[in-house]
Amino acid sequence: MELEKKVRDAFGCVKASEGLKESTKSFLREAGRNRQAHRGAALRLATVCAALAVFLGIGGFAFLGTPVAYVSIDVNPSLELELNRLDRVIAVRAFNEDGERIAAGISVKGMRCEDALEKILDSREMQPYLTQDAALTFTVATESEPKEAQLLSDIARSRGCTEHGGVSVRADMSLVGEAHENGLSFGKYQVYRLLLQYEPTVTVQDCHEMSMSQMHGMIEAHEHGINHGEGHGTECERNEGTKQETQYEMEDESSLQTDAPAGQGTGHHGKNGHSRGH
Amino acid sequence: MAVLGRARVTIVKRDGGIVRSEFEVDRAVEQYSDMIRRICLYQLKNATDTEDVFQTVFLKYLLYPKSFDSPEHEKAWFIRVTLNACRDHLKSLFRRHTLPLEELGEEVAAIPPEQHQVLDAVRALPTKYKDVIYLHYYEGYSAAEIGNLLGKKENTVYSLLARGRTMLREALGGDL
Repeated sequence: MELEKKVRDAFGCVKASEGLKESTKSFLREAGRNRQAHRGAALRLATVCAALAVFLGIGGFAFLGTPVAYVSIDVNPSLELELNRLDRVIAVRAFNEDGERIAAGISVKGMRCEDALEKILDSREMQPYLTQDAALTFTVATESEPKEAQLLSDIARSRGCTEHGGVSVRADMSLVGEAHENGLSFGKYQVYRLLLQYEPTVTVQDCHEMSMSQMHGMIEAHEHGINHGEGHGTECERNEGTKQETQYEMEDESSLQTDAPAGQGTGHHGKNGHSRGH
Repeated sequence: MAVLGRARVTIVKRDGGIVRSEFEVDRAVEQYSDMIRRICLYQLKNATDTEDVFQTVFLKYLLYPKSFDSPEHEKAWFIRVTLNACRDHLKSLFRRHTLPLEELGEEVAAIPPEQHQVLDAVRALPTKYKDVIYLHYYEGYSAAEIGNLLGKKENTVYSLLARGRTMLREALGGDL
């Protein structure tokens, strides 16, 4: 009985502060307003999710676990965050060994997107990849245009862009499935599709081995007319160490130095609706 | 039920499901915040996690499409949802550091120091004992009721209670 009284007395002193209650109420009012504002879309999505939940037998909260937006993070590591309607991370996917190392070292599920991105970039495992010439790219894909604009804007203002020279770009949702079928994050896959226009012989497998910086470098080299499409199939076979590859590497580095002042990354311009942080 | 306005009235959808009003949600926040705060205290590691769990739990309440049979039914629902939210949070954020009790937020700072030892002892228990200790000794649930809440057999709850009690007594030394 003595123990019982001690536990009761101790927990009896624990109360939720008025600040915590008020912040919770404010959060819920905002959530309620968002539901009113997007009622049509939410009802349609909820109907689809409810039907899907019935089919899969998941249960009534399926829509909180349904991804409505994706953010691809690509440097050398390739990761994707799946976000639910409340911009919270519901899943993290890695698309290469570097990405798997990052994902294994952090836990961001349940976090808001911007907080998750900060945590990923601050992680010890990520630091070696955040070099001055790294082409850190955040790619957003979602059906909702307002959501897309909001995510692009949030990411552009984040430290990933303002301090690490990253760029935020959009991609069509239709690319996500196709990218995954090819084993690439959709952010990297989008750049691959762009590279393919200049390098018809480049394969998905080639791009698995390349960094974003290398891929962007090749695209920019073509767009600046330095090379004219001759004999570049071997640039992608980096492991073979031919003399031609060595020459291309040197050209690639010099083009990067010319185009991009240190610290501003090498994000590709123009075609994909970039938002660049300042 | 007639719709009299956007707020302060429970709106019944055509299919009979309930959409909760701002009034009802505010009522629930006032009624259950202390209980959820207590569960968060012994389950979670820091104040930020507590705020996240609060938002998760009450958002689920806002969106829960059914009515409750009784106040006891509603309270049991809140306990289950809070425990699940804490577990999900711990699973996703297992690398967070455990802060000392004193650094867990403004409301914890208001707890008399003589109570800290007991709360720290409960926080230090292995997870499976914390819930049964709290639900039995503070909320007053029987072993059978705890078994229903947590999806465990009654005998299992008895065993957990007995072992948890022993561990608490050892932790609290000769103060009992």
